[in-house]
Amino acid sequence: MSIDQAQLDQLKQTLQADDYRLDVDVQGDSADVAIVAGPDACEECLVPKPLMQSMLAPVLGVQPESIRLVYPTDPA
Amino acid sequence: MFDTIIDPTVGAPGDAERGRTALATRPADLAGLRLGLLVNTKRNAADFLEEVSGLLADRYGVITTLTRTKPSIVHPAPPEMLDELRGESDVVVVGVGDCGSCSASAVADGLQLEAAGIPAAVICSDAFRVSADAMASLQGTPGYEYVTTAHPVASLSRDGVRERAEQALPEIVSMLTRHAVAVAS
Amino acid sequence: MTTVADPAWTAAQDPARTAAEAIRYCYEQGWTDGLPVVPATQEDLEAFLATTDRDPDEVIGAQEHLNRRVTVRQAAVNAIMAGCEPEYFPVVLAAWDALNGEPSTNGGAWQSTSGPAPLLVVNGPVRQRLGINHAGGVFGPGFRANATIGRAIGLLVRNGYGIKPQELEQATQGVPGRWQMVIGEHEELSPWEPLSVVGGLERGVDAVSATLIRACEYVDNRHTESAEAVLQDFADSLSRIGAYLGFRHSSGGLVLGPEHAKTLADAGYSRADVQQWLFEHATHTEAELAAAGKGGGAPVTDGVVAMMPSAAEIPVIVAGAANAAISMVFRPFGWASWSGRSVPVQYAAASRPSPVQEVTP
Repeated sequence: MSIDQAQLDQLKQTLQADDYRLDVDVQGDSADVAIVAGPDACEECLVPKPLMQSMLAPVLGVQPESIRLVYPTDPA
Repeated sequence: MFDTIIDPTVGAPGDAERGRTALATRPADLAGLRLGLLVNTKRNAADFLEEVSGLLADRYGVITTLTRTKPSIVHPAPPEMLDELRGESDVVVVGVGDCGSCSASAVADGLQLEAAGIPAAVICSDAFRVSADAMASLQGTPGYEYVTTAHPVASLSRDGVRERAEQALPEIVSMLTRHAVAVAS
Repeated sequence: MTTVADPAWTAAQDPARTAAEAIRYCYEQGWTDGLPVVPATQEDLEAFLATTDRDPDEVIGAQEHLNRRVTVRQAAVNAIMAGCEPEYFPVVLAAWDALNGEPSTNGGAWQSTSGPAPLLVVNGPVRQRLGINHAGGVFGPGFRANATIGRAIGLLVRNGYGIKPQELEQATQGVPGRWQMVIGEHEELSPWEPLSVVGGLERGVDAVSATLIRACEYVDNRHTESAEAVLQDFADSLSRIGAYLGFRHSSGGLVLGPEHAKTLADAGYSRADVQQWLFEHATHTEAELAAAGKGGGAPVTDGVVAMMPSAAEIPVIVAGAANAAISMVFRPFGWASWSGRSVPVQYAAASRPSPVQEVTP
């Protein structure tokens, strides 16, 4: 499986509308994804993590549970 | 023979193998019906639905009987709010899904209402189709239809909001009344 | 003894045969983890629910992406099936809550390719009341409460969330002892405060602490009286390169046998001192990591990489018998290590243990 670039761009645009940036690093069958907040980002506007993982999975071509997802609200 | 053995897979009500949510039966027209508004706390959401309510009253004779604001932007409306809407309205307008989580939870609200037998029209902004559609799929109802308006909504003036409500009105009305499309979605 | 061989008669009259058929029925429904389960009946369910004041319909866990939410009632049904007695149920609920409070259980842990296993540590007088083993053979088997409380968690994940191996659960190999690791802390032989006190509770309060782990490895060191030599031996296992993921290391923890704990305490080490020593010494050089193909990524100080994230994130527990200088190193799942919080066991007002049984702090 591989990354669906068109869908990924769409997802990035969606996040951008809430002033978030999406950083993706896929390694084989797992992925590290960080969502970074811009100055106007609204904390509440991010979907719950499980939903984000299920949105990312088909786009990145990995299982939802193999996506390590970091939100700006996560403790450092 | 073993009917008395309790099935350990039965959890909270409504969870078992969630299938596609069947849409509620639509009324033939809206005249005299009671309208519920389910508002999220996103800026301009309340104004948007207020404008919709005014337009539906003027042009279709719909009476707004209940307006409820969701306590959380991320999560669907709590059960007691849903019960109130079911008790006091015939159709509900939900919105405005103008962010990632609120578009997703607005779709979840629409599906909850449909499952409870209340026709609903959900309004999301076009920038958040991805999360709205993802939620519909997650809830077992891919292809669920909702009304879209251009992003952003939050930055509009009251006049801008009114204009948007006006633009969205035909779609809202058809979503609440059209049988064929609603059932086939 | 009758010799009547009519199968219908036998099934109807012989309770043992009926029980075997009921167990078979549960297998056929896909409700078991491979071992026989106790079929749950309404009467048993009521006895279990009577041990807690919580609403049977209370949702105690959810997998949003699977649309599954589990309730107190469902936890009771699965605890019955696991072989629990009703009085174990408050501990099952505390264990479940403790697991759900751990960052590592969020985000798909139950479906992970790592197949992590809960390690559940029980403190307080409940260990004696329920016979929760904390002494010899603490990792089991042989003790009903230890064996069935852990199994109840596993059945609830399987039946409640519908997460089954080779289906929604994608463990590559899984972890030996998954759903079996419930241990009491050997407070009586521990030189330090109970783990639950570190976890924020009063001494003498029944409590469960939880983490998810990927491995257990023994450290057998009966050859030295030097506390530092023993610590160095632990540090070696803790810093094992195989547990390093190339950019971030898993944390590690210790289940110390009472003899090792005594050696360390006699040399003046508190629990925090042990953690700090291990943090400072569980290291590898950059070159060692590079030789295993895992160079780069982690912060390097003078060519040395600390393998543990912090001293506080190295849980230290005391359990087992004081009959040999043996301890266990365990390896938490992911990089979110123990939350540092213990969860008190809550009882129904009507069935709360009598004060006589409580230990006064």
